[in-house]
Amino acid sequence: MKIRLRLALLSILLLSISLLACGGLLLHTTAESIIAAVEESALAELDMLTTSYDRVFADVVNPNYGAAARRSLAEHLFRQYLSGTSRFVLVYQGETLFNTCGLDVKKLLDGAGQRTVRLGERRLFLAASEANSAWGQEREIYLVRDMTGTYDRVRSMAVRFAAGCMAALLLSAGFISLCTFRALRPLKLLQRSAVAIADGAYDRRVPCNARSHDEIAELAKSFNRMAETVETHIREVSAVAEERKMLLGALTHEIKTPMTAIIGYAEALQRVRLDERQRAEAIDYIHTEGLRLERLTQKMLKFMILSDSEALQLTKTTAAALQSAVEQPARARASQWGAALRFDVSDAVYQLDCDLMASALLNLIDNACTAGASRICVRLTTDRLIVSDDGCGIPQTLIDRVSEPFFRVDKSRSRRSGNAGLGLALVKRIAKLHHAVLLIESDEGRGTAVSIVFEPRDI
Amino acid sequence: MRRILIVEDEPAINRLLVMNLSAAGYLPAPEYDGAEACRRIQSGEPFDLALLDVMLPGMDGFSLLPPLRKRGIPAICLTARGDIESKVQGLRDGAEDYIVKPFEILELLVRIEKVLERSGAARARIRIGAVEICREERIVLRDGVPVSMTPIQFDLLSLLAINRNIALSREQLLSAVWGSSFVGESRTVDIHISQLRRKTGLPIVSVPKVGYRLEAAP
Repeated sequence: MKIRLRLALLSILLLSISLLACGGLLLHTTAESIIAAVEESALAELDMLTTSYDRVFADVVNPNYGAAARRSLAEHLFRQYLSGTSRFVLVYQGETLFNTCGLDVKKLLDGAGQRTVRLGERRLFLAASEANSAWGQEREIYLVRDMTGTYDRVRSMAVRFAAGCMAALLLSAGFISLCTFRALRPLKLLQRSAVAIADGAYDRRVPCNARSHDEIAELAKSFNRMAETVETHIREVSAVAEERKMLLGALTHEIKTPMTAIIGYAEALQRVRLDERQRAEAIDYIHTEGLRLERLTQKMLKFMILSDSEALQLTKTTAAALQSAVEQPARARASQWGAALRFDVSDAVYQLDCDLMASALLNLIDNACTAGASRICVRLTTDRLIVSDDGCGIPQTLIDRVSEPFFRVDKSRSRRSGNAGLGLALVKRIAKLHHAVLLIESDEGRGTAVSIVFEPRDI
Repeated sequence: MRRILIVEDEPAINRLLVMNLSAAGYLPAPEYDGAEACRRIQSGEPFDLALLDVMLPGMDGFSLLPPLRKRGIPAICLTARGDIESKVQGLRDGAEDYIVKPFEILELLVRIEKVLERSGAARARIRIGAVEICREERIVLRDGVPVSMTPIQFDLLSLLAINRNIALSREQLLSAVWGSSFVGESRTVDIHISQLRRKTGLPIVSVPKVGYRLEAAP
């Protein structure tokens, strides 16, 4: 059974029980006291009558009276007391002298001092007087009070109470149900949102009252926080997967060309009638394209490893130390291309992975060489590392794309130099791992400056 | 001689195509630059067919299709991309056929031949040395004298002649000439080859581990 139904029913049940129990108890005690009050007044009446009757009789009676005289006196005196709400019976010396109620009260009392009997639809209260004087021994006065009215009143009171109770109960049942259902409705909403999110709508949130601090509001807030985290995480994972997919797609594409060449030339050597020159050319192409494939896969591997491992070894490195890590291979590369290399090193200290950053700088120096620079300058300042050259530059419109994996500005020139188009992408990756950004400024025909700018850090 | 325009920016691939096509008896016209190719097409230079690389630096290979169409030169697109959209776009823009890298040279030659047939530039007569193959009449002349030949032998000879200087394996010959449902030995091919050698006197060379090749001056 649903909680809200259970809750509502339980509340209503408890309310009913307590209401009926208390009310019942109250009703019972009230009824009892009402009846007791009436009985008491009847008894008082009997008492009063008996006392005054006895006194009067004692006053009036003459000891000389005979039995018959006394009897008629008793009866005569008794008639004075006819008024009143109760009926009375006078029994003198065993003989009923006066009976206006038509009942054999003595018999009905059956020895008890007082009693309530039920005759047909009537309730009658019967009482016997006490003998408290000598005269009292001879006479018995009985009282009959019709209590039917009282009992009726009590009954109608009970009925009214029951009706009122029922009405109140129904009203509160309705109210309790409404309240419970209202309070628990957010749970249904929460459940639906959870299902929607599970089905892929990661941007769903549960509306919640920011000012309220009750359990439902807290739950809603927590739920939203969780959904937020899930959405962010999914987005990140998707982005990484997307990037990986694109990279692999680009790689497959890049590989197909040298593969086609290798397969094609090998096939030609097998099947086609070629002269010596053509055969030599075919073998040569197989070799160069094979080497190209090797370089490509090497760079790709480095790139992929970089994206997977966040395990960077950051150590305190001075600018001078960075320079010496790069100097030898850089000078060798530069002299191969006939470019002059200059270092401008400050006394800055960095937190770097020296190997990675050296590799990044070498990549940039390489690019400068293939751009046809005659002068290359490497500046290591407090907040950035800059490699600038006077090579052929990059067109303004392509600057943003230049750090995309496999993108080359001039494909044919890159091919001659063996450039795979991954250099800048690698540098960008390395920069990111060091919490730095890549800044590329270029003037077509005049030169390029690539900077790795470290984010300002509070020390 | 059929002239084939090759528009491919990768020198390795371009040279490979030139090598193969010239061996097979075509006259390849290599072009490395898309814009230059466009100019040559529009200048009215004669070509029988164009091989287009779709990914050219700075331009889309597909953009060369309209000027080719205007001149009535059939085109085959070469590309590394295998996705359906590219294939459909190429064909829709007017390419005759589409081939994905890496490809087998034989496949390319067969397609080239098919496209040329469709555009009516197929060679009706093939001449190799003293032998002339008349494809329409289905007769072979040696020094002007008809040589008796079974239909199978004629088809075999035509295939070797069209793909001259390129070795064809026994399996390839069997499936092309006898059909793929042939149940028999590849010895059949050897027997017919030796008969062809005898009848035509042409140098049909046995290439070890590969098959047979009809050698002719390109």
